[in-house]
Amino acid sequence: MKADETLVLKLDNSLAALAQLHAAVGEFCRRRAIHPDIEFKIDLALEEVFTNIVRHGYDDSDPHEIVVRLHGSRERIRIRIEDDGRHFNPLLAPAVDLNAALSERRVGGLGVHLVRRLMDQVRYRRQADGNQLTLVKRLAGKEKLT
Amino acid sequence: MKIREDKIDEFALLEVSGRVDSENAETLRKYLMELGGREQRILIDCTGMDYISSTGLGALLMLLKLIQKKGGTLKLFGLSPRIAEVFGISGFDKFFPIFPDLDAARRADA
Repeated sequence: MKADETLVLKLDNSLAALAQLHAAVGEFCRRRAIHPDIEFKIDLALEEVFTNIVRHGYDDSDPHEIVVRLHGSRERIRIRIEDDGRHFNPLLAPAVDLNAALSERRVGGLGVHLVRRLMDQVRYRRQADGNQLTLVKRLAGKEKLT
Repeated sequence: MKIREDKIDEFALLEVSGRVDSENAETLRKYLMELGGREQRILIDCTGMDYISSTGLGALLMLLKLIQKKGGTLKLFGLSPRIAEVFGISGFDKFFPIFPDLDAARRADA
């Protein structure tokens, strides 16, 4: 059985860092033999969170650091994202109305909706100097390392 | 992400492949808006699309609204199961006519 493993990424608050994030997630998942379907979901959820922080998290145009910690165990992958931006709890964001007509559908909020649906757990913690969001994806059956 | 445009019958055929993420979705959005401005019937080939996030979905939604306003047609085909799941979770599967392949998309009315 593979040992628990933590990978820490320190990223610039720029969409250009997405390529680095994607590459690191891919490498981490492949090393742990995570099923590509699960990797896809982690990759997507993480992009949505990261993009929200970059686009809406800061009142200034200074460089900021966004820290992503991936922790893999036999049972799950836990992803913790910390930023020093404006306080924002995505769990309190209004839900997307899936029954809305096409003309009423807005794209805002879709990212958070995807994160909640793709992950098994999403937890938010407000910190003195920013936000901490924790995503958990459980590994089941074939994704579980033996 | 790669975008390639072709013409088949009366349709503009757009192939969008690779990764559509929030870094390049703006490029896609601009292309789609320009395409929607000049074309009436559009097929989008998603066969080579590996990935799409909410920003790319938003660009497709904008195109659909534009085309419907013009009374035109927009159909998608070739979505991988992963991409199809993202459409489903987003509730977009009920807005977009989605077909397994090019032939099915061309033949279908609408």
